[in-house]
Amino acid sequence: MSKRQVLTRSIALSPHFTSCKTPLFSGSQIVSHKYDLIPDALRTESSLFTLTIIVKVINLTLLKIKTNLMRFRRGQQAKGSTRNVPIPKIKLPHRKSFQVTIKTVKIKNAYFIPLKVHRRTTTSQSNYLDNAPVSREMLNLRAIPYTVLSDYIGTLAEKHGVRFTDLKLIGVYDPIPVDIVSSPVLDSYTGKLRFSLRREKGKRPKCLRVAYAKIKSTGKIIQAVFPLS
Amino acid sequence: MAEYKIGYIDTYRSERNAFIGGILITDCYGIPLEFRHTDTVVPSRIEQILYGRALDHYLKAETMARSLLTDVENKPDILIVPDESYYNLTRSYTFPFVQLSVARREPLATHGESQEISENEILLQILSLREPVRVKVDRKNAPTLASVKSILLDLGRTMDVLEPLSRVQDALKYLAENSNK
Repeated sequence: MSKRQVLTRSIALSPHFTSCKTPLFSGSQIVSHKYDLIPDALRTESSLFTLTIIVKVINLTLLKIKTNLMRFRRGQQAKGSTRNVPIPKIKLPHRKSFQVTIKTVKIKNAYFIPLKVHRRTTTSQSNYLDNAPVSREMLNLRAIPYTVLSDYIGTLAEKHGVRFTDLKLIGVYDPIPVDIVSSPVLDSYTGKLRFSLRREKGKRPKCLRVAYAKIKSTGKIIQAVFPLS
Repeated sequence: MAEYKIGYIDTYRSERNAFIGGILITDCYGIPLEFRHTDTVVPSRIEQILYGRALDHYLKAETMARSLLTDVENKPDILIVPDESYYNLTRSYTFPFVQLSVARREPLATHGESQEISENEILLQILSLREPVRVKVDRKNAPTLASVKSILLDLGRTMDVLEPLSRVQDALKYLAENSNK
């Protein structure tokens, strides 16, 4: 390669600027303007925010709850009542008060516990005991003094013509209305004397003490009466 | 002797837990003038639980006895009761309620003799040679004890004042057992 002469040009990259020197502070006064940042009066717009309150009126009537009344005593029945309950300090446009019904449920299907017999039972008259036998307990022979017992046995022996020693005292019973007694039976198991009583109007039966004894030789049962003491 | 009427009231509880009450009014010889009984009442299990120990008293006195004493036509001069649970009813009736039992002890010396146990209870020798009878009235009716004693002494000469109670028991037992047949 041949060596050529390269021509160069000088091109000013920047245009030629002329600058002048200006004093920044030439001594003149800086002029400022005053602006009132705070106005004398604010201009406002009032907007009315109407608060709409939705009042839900809840039905205050109490729920009807089915209950079963267990009545133990008379006078505890549930009673229903209705009352107007004013509600102060709450302004409602059209209503001044709620009507609140406090209601106790009137119970129709109540169970009475216990006793189907509540305070009253049905009674009925019966003639079951009209002819029922009457009984008398034997006197406690151990509590009777020996002299009295021997007097009883002596009387029995004398009345029935048997020997004193041939008798065995069964029992002594009182008071026996001897005039109206029928079909007396000595219960050997319980020692009771059972008998029926006849109804006889106008007659006053005589009540006595009766002693029963057994004749040992024959097995016959004899009796004798004694006045009550 | 006055023609006294004497009343005997009692209840019977059967094996199947059925209650029945009855009242017997007799004359002074023990002859029945009126016998009245209630329907049989069978308390349920819940009733037994709710009433507990009070069930017996409630049924006997408040329910059955009251009904019987209201309905009975021959009002007694004296009412013999088996236990103290009937005493609550005394204020509703004009006749005295009396509890009687045999005192297991030696007879008192003479017929008509009495021995005070407390202000409302005495031992009374109704007839000689017998064990005395324990007579008890409600404490509030203690002042009536003197008149009760006089009535019992009169009645004791013509009847065994304790015996009709066993008749009432027998009758109630029979009725309770045959009520559901």
